[in-house]
Amino acid sequence: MKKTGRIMLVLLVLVVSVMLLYPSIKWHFLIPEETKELAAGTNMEIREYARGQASKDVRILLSMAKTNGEDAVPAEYKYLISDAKAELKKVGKSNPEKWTCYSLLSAFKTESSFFEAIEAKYREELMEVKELSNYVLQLGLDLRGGMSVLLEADTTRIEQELGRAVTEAELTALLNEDIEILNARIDQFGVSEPDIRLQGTSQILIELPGEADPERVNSFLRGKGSLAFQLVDSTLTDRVNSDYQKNHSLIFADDGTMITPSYIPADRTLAGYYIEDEYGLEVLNSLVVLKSEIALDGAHLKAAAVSQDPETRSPVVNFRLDSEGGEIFYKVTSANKGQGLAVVMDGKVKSVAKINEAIRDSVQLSGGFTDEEAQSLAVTLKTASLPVELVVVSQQAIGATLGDDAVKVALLAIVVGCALVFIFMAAYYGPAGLVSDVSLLMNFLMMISLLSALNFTLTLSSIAGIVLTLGMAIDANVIIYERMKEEEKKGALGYQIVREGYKGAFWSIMDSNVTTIIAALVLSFFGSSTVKGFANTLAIGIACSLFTSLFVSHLIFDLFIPADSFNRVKLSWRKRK
Amino acid sequence: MRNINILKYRKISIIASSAFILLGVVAFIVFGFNTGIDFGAGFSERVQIVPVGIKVSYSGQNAATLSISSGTLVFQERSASGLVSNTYSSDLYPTVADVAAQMEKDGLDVVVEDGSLLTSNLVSGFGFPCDLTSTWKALNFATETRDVTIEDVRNALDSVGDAKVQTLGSAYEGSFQIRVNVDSSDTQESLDKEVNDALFSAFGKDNVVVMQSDFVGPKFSAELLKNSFIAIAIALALILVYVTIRFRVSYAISSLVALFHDVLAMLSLILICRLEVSSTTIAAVLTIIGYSLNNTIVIFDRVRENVSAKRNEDVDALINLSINQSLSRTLITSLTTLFAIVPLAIFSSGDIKLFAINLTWGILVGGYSSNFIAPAFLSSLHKKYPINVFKEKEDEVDPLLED
Repeated sequence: MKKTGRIMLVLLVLVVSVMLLYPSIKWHFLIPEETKELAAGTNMEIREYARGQASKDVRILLSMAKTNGEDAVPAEYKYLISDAKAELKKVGKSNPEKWTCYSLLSAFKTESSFFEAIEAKYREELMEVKELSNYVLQLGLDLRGGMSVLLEADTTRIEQELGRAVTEAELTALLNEDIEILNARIDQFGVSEPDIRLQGTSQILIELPGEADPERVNSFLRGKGSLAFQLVDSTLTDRVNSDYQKNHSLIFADDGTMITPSYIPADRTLAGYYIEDEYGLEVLNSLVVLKSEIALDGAHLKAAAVSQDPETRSPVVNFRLDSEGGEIFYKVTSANKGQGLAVVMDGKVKSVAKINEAIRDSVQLSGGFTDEEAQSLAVTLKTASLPVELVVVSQQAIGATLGDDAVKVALLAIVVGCALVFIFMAAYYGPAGLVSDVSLLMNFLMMISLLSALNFTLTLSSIAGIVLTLGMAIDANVIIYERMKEEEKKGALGYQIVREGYKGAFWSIMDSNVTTIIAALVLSFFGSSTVKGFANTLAIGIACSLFTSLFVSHLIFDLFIPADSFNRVKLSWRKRK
Repeated sequence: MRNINILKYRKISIIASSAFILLGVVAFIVFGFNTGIDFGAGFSERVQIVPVGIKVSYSGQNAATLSISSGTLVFQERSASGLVSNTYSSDLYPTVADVAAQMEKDGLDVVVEDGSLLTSNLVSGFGFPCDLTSTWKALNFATETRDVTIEDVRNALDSVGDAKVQTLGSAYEGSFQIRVNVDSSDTQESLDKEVNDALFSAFGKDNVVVMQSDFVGPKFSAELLKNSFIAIAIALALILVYVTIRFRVSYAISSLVALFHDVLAMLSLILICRLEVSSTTIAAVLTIIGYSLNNTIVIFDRVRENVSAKRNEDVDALINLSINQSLSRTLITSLTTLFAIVPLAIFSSGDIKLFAINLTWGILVGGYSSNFIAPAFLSSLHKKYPINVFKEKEDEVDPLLED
């Protein structure tokens, strides 16, 4: 390969590495801590925040339009102009000559469309940051604290019901339902997104960053108290909804929480009736005023399924209650015929149905569902109990402070180790040692960028992998330099030394690194998660080190020592006669 | 050039290695492995038993959280006007009483239990960051004196059965590691409750701070062990195939002998020093397999090169020459790798420290075996499967050098 071609290749690798690393750089240095904290919340919390900010901005802009409506739009609200243009285009009106607070506001047909435009801006900003966090090199649970729980299906109950053993495929399907339900309980748990996934065919792994508290996880697994039935106060519900339609900012406070109007008495609670939109985000459909007393706890639910009403052909949701729940439900339904009953999960109304008759343990909810709504309601009802019970097979929890200390110590060790290695190489091999330091730095850069691009988390064991890679990368350089020294002793000069040194070292380095990569790859397939992290880093590190030591450092030598050179290659600081 | 006759020491080194491994076998028979909970199922918990400095609660209308970031308390209040953050660093508020006074000014309700404790000794375990409500949240601080001894903890856990207790860090910290074996009937929940209830009743619920807890069920640990062995066997088989293809069968067998030597020597040290065996031990063993092989192959590569260049010379002399030619590389590489590993062994704690200790020993042993053990076996095997018989074949060329 020609020298320019080689330089181009190295530059290309550098550029790609920096690009892969860009999300991490942006995350750690360019995004303010506060934004990150806000984006770390659940989708629900993000919406609350966006709503709150939007209602604040609506008020500010309204008062500006009233007092000095002919002023130009302030810089921080300029983004609304393009929304306003779109609004005007929709109704076929032309843009105003000058964008003032007044003309901006009047471009929107209703106040709620104005509100939505502002809300969308806040939401998109945070959702973008949230999306970005997926491409960032994150610290593992052992470094930032958190919990990892491995659960296994307990099939005894199901096998009793079926009267036979559960097949592997059936079990996996049931576990996938479990996972869906656990995901639905996340909001209730109130932690930043846990990672819940199937492991093998019969296990579920849950990783919760940040918060470590086995007790809370246990209650999360049991899922008690998240689902309840409550009676609806229809008069107050109508009044609240008409207020809401008039003005959104009357109902939402600046921090995104709902304001309970003063006319709602203490034994009533205001709740939102939410449906999921096409982004999977819950959208407020209307408001419901509930009687605070819980009519029936969801813990009494046994099973739920969607079926079809044989007469009307519209979807209905059936569920069953245990005997105690049946008694309670019968009392409630017989006393409140004709009233609305709401299914409430985590303070949010999921469905409202009218009580037509007294019901005991087998309940049918009908009326006005689409197929999807019926499905999602059945899923909600099912969240009260898991189809397959789960037992904890292994669990690790680390308090955030302990993780904090571990990070500091590991980082210190790495910095000290690297510094020693860098100094030693430069001291022992002189200018050539500096070349190896440069190729080592590039090795680090490539490794970190690949690790973050492949979405690996940085754990203690992967830090160990990095340290070991450092040792192996140095070895390649040492083999090359020792070869060069031998060639020099044999009487070779300048370019010859470089060529023969790399030639002699090539297969030693290849053979020894390939065997290590074999070990690393086997480990990354069969090892436990700790060992995997180590093996993955090592495999990536060695691959990068082969490139930097055989290709990059060779190129640097070739640049300093041209093919016609007969100068000595400086392999130490000593001056020789 | 100096030329040390290393093959001369083959008998001494084989005897020395055998003796050390034998010592390991004896230790295995007498003590057995000191298995961590990864391999022997169990429940392990790290607790710190320290007094409560203050209790805080919040009765305001806003959303309030208390978190700890790099050892400093942070109280955040989210209200209509935005987010207000108050930090209580140990520089500004050296004692707990100072923190309490400032917290009251910032709108928290505070009960001071012991105001003389130092803010810098703040201890936090599970449950941070926490949402502040009207329920009291206790904040614990370590003392400068020794309040709880390991005997106290052992007595407290009498009812739990075979609980093992270890002191962590300095005695003043009151940090303990508790380990309990699991029966097939125990669940994580039941053990967690059993251990914590015993501690709570002996030291008071608020004085026990749980820092870390691990649970490994019996089934999980059996699977882990099985998978680890499968991994090692597959790795060895693949390496054997690779070396046989690239070199000759004598090289492959000798390098495997050296490799088994390293693994056995590592396990012997673990047995003799009673180091804990966990899944990171497997990682260390596998690292050394790769590393020692790396060393051996660099030397064998030299042997192969010398043997094919000087076809009529005595093979033993050539092996010796090759070791000597590679000697400075072996020393420098081992030294630099140790530079990178030793700081981890010294500064870090827990699993990672064990890993680094295992690795340090493995690097020393690996360096020794590739210079003394592997060449000795190669020279003996040569008598049976000669390594200096050649078919005519073109030399290998570095493909990157073809400009």
